[in-house]
This record gives sequence, structure tokens and C-alpha cells, in this order.
Amino acid sequence: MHAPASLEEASGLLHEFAAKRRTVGFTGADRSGGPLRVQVDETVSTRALAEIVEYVPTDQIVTVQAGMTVARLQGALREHKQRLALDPPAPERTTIGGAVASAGYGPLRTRYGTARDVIVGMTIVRADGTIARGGGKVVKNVAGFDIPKLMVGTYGTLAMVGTITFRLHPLPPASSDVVFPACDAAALRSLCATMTQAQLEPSAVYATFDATSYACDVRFEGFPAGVAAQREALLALAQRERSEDASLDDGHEAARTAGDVQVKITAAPSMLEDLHARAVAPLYRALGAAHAVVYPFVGAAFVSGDCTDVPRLLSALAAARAWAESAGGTLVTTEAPAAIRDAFDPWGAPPPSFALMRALKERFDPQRRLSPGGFVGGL
Amino acid sequence: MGTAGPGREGCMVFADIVGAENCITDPAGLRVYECDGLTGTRVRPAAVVLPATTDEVARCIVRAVELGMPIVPRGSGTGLSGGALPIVGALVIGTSRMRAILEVDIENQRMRVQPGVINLDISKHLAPLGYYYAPDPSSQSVCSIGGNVAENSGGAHCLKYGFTINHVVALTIVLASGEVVEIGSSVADPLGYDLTSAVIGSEGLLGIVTEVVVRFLRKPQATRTVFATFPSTDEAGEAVSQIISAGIVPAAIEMMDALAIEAIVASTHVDWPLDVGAALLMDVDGYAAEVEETADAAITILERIGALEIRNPHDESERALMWKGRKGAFAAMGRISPNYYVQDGVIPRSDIARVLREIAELSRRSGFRIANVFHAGDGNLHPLVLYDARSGDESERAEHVASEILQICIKYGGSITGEHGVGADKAAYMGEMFSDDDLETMHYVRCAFDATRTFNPTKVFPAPRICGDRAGVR
Repeated sequence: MHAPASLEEASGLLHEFAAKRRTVGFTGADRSGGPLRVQVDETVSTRALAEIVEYVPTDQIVTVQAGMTVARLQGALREHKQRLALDPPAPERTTIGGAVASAGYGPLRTRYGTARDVIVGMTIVRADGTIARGGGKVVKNVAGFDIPKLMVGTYGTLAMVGTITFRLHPLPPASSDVVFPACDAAALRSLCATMTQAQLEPSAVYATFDATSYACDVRFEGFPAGVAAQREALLALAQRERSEDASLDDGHEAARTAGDVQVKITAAPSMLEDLHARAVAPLYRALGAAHAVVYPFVGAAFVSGDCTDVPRLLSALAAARAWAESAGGTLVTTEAPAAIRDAFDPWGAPPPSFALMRALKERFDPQRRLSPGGFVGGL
Repeated sequence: MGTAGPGREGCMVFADIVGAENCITDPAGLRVYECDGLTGTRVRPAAVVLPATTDEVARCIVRAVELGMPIVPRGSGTGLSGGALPIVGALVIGTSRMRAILEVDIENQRMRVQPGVINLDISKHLAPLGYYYAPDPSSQSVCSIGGNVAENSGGAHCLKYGFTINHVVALTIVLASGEVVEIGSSVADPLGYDLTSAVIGSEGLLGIVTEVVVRFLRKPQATRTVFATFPSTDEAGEAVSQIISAGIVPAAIEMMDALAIEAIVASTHVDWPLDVGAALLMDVDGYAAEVEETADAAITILERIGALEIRNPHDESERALMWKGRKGAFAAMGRISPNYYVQDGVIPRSDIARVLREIAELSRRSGFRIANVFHAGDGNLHPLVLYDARSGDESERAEHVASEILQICIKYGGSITGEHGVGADKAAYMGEMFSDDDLETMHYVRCAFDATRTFNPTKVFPAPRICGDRAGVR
């Protein structure tokens, strides 16, 4: 494991690996895993690249090295009443670079989108060791191709993510969670429709599953009067019993991080009932100590748990993926033990634009040395 | 629009694909297509075709490639950086006949449209249902969504809502091979590389987009517009900084200096005062109670900074007039100057006042009047250099002054373009903002999509590069 302490050092390493034709993988939190499990000759960790490079609070812009954890960055920003509107699970151990490379996100996606929506610049170290920059340190910038956004979700298969520049948002002065227990998927969908119709603007909406029903957490953030008014309006409109839970963060976190199997399924928000019946419920039943959460406005579900019955889980995964793909969505196993990985492609069918993706890989990594074969379609 | 003369060879070549009436090769007809919004530079293309379908676009591309013609994609031709400026011998493929709205999915807030659909028509179509499309370039009543995709267009309200790239989720693109490829997805998290991000803002260098899936939004419950005047741009800039620092995220916050106000007043019916140094036009939108609280907080800041006057429009028509004034600011320059050069640069927001003083100094030194209209919330400047093309070498000198403004933006760590694009106009400056290695990396993307450099070959990149077989190996 190599842990360069500067981009120049990383550049030197990658240059050397290129000369020796060594295959390379990148890691942030030093935990093996994720969907991209391929054997590589060399592993480069970003753990010694963990500092803020530049932070100008008045511009609401921060440049940070890839190895800093999400929690540490958010802590530094909080001192200036700001935040990065990106909340991937396990912030204490998830690095910024890891969150970007895996296109990670959390419930704030409901309002703020994904990493690509908050990234304004990036410095990468290419497969040949060359350091290159894209974007800049201003929010608005259309000079040249958007290399930073292109790098989001590439799992280090095109280049090493070195530093990232983000646009920031003010830390909302007020926040309030309303929790509705005992919802089925149809009720969740109807709740979302009600909120949209009433022009409510929740910053996060997610629903955790407990084997029989969902509990839905609706979070409003902003200035106190607006938060209170939206909360009251929702309670009046929803006409549902609510619970006193402050938030469902723990249940959410478990569904995103617990167990040795973690699955993400996406489908259009209008397919929520089917997403539940065809994917979430059967996978939940096929796992031991299962957890699940859905993001109803996004159209994404996450199911986690322990693999206790390999044939049963494989069959549930195959059926759920077949449904998801037929509905225009995807099913990805972001974590799985070898017995599952060996029999079930973590990614699923490559998209129709796969030839272009392969062409990009060939340009950025012509020797196929960056985690070769681990990404979608063997990229 | 011109029609083809019978027997003209150029037209015969494409007429069987798009119909003779949609193929232009006569000089009078081609004149319309000699430039885009960058009107100072004109090149006559070999031919213009106006296909109606993805299939027709693909067949035109294949034939142009067979004939060795470079291809220049064109939407409404409102771009300000020469992205649609023809190239000698090129085929211009215009999307103005591709104006169909193909699919509207209200629950999932997605709409599939052809690229020639006008930006504002998307919101008009959705208005009765209470939805709208957020990116709102000032040219939104005439610019096309395909052009917006090519340029990653923004607009006044992108401060809160983001740019085209944040609101387009999938595309259909035709490559130089004629192959039609679907990229991205209406559904969250499509697998693999984010090709949609690569294509949006690529200025027509990667292919021709023939379908666009946009994400639209529910209209906010309330919008409050505030107009305020100040003794100088210093106080206006400080007000912007303090409003943002207070945790307020206005939907838009626009600044105009005295010269810009003079031009806007001369060209519209707004009754803005002429004896002020600067004005701010701000929208706060969202849930009504939130809007009231944040707008009141912003007004308190405006008062504290020393606003001369603060106005709230009485009704929707007065609000619309204020925004019409702002959005018509470029064209309004025609009232106070025979010609003007529109610049587009970005600086960190906290440097607004300093940079405006440098621009004022540049104006004094050069003798050119410079009006400033800009998206203050995100530091996107639009200085307008006023000149008279009939007078000696003023055109060239004005352009030089405009280029000095870009140097100022680069010096402050900003960008040479915030929303108008690089196109033909700013390719020469790319090397000042990016290193050769940065540009080579962008070039990889181009080569992956268009290794033959068929599309817009002379745009964006400062020096010609070829796509070698083993790019990246050193």
C-alpha cells in the first residue's frame, strides 16, 4: 500500500507504475470492498492526502484533498456555518474522494442532487502520472469540457482523484423532521405527491422498512419560520398518524452500511410500489438481519444484511435485477461476499452507450492498468 | 430562409435526405447562417441542412463525412462565442425544425424534447400544470434546448437552481459514424461513466444531440422581487456578499451599473432612477413563509449597507417589467452606443468590488465606456465594451479591451467564460486558463467521441491536436 503525501508524489508513483506496467487500484478509507474488487499489483491510498487546500467562506468554495473524511470536512465548514450538501453514509470513515469516485449520496440528494451537482473543480493524476486540472474555483464556469463531473462515479478507473473543489451551502439555521410510521409503498408515493402539490420543499425524504411497513422521515431545513410553516402544512395535509421520533438516521445508516451484502436498486419514482414488491421486499426476506431504505423522490432503494442462504439470495438478486432493468432502472451489489460476487455481476447489463465508455477508458487508461475489469461491463 | 436553386450540386447531395426545401446552398440563403450571436465574425458554409428527425440527422452526418465536410451544429444561433460560426467548406446542421415535445411525465418530472424546442416553451408547456424548467438564459424566448445543452447554459436563476447540466438527465446523440446513442437515463444513477456530463457544455464538438430529457421542477409557492439602488458598485457588491454570508440563497441576484441602467431605461419602460451608481435586482423564492423571512432579512441588509432606495414590485406585471429590463440589457446597449462587445467572465464573488474598480480603471485608460451587467451572486461578469465600428480601428481596440477583462478574471482565479462558451471567440485564451496537460485531458474526451474531429473542428481548443491511437502513453 502506497500513501503519497502530495499530488507530486502520487504523480511520481503512477509514472513509475506506468513504466513498469503495474496495475493500480485506489482506496480512500483503506477498507477493501466496494463493488470494484479486482486484483491489482499496487494500491494507492489517499490517507496522507487529507487536508483542506483552500477555503474561502465568503465565496462558499472549498478545495479539499481526496483523503479527508466527509465528517472532518463538514466539521471545518460548520465553524463558518456552511456545509457541503452531500451526505453519504458513514461520514466518519468515508473519504471525500471515495464519495466522489463512487458517486455516493445520502438523503440530501432529495434537494441538492449528487456529487456532480456540487463539484466545480478537480485535480486528477492520470494513469501516466500526469497531473491535470479541470473546472476551477468559481461556481459558474463553462471553459472546456467538464472533466470534474465526468470523474464522478468512475471508481478510479479513469484516473486518481487528487483534490476536489466544491460549492458550499449555508448551514440551515433550523431543521425539523416529521416522521410518519406504518406507511406502505402506495402511501409513500401519495405522501410525496401531496408534498409536491402543496409546493413543500423538503431537503430530505427517506423511508426505512421494518419487514412489515415503512416509516417515512421528511426533513425541512431553512429559516425557522419557513421550517415551522412547512411542518405544520405537512401535518395538516398528510392526515396520517405521526410518531415522536426525532429522525430515522440510525435506521437509514444501517440500511446503507450494515451486513456483508449491500444492494442499490433504482427505478422511476412512479414505480415505487413495484420497486418495493419486486425488489426491496424479496431481497429483505432473502437476507439475514436485513435493513432497507427507500428515497421516494429519487427513485432509489438500498437493502443490506447478511448472506445466510447463497442460492436463495442469488435467486432474489437475479429476479430483482431482471425487474429493475426491465423498468429502465438498475440493481448494483455495492458489497457482497465472494460466493455472491463470483456468481452475480455486481453491475448488471452495460448501458447502450457502453462503446463510448470503453472508448473513454481506452483514452484515459490505454494500458488498462487502473482497476482493470472491475467496473461496468469489465471496463 | 433561402431555398435551394435547382441543380445545385451541394443541395442535390442532401435533398434526398431532408427535402430540397430544407437544404440551403444559395448565397442569399446562406447569409443567414454566416454567424451566430457573435456577429462580428462571418464565414459562409458550403451548405445548411434542416433535418426533422434523428434519422435524417444521422444520414446527413454520414454523407458529409463521406464528402470530407466538417460539420457545424446549430440551434437558434443565439450563442455569443461563435459556437455555431460556420467553417469554410462545412455543412451546418440546424435543428430549427426539430421542435417537437415528445413525452411529458409529470409524476417523475421528466420531459423528452427535440433539440430545437425553445427554452421558454418548455416552461410555457408546463405552466398550466404548475411546473417549470429552471435554467433561464436571457435569450430564453428564442434559444433552443439543444443549444443550451451544447453551451451548458445558465441564466439569472442558476445561482440557486444550477445550470443545464443540473437539469438534463439523458440525451440522444448522433456520432460522426452516424451511430445513434442514448446516454444517461431518466432513472437515477445510470451505470458507468457519466457521459451526459461530458456532452453538456461540449459546444458541439462531440456529436449532434437530437433528443433531450430534462428534469423540471414544481413552481415555488412564492417569489419576492426586490430592486435596490446604491451610490456605487462598491456598496452593491458589499450587499451581495453580506446577503450570501447571512445564509440567504436568493434565486437570483443581478447587478447593473450606472451605464447599464441608462441603457435599460432608454430601451424599456422601467422607471429606474438615472442618478445612482448601481442597482441590484433580486428574486427570493420558495415556500411563502421562508420567502417572507429571507426577503425581509435581505432588505435589512440592503438598508444597513446604505441602499438609496428599495422597491418591491406591486404586482406580477411590474415584476415582469423589471426582469424584462434586466434580460434585455445587452440589446439595450444599442440605445447608447452604435456597437458593443459582450464579455463573459467569472471571478470569485468576494472580489466583485475590486474587479469592478479595475474594470473602471481600464475604461479610463482605454477611453472606452464599459457598462456592467452581471450575475453578482455567482461572480459572473458581463462587461459590455461600447464602441463605434465606423470609427477607425475601434472594433479591434474594443476587442482588445474586452480581452484585458479576461486577463483580470484569470488573475483573480476565475474563468474566461461563465455561460457563453469558448467557441471560436475564446479558444486562444484556453491556454492561459489551462495547462497543456489539462487541455490534453479534455482532448481525450473529444477523441473518445469524435476521433476524426468532424464536429466543430476549429472550436474550443487553442491548437489543433490529432487523436493518436495510443493517446496517454508517454
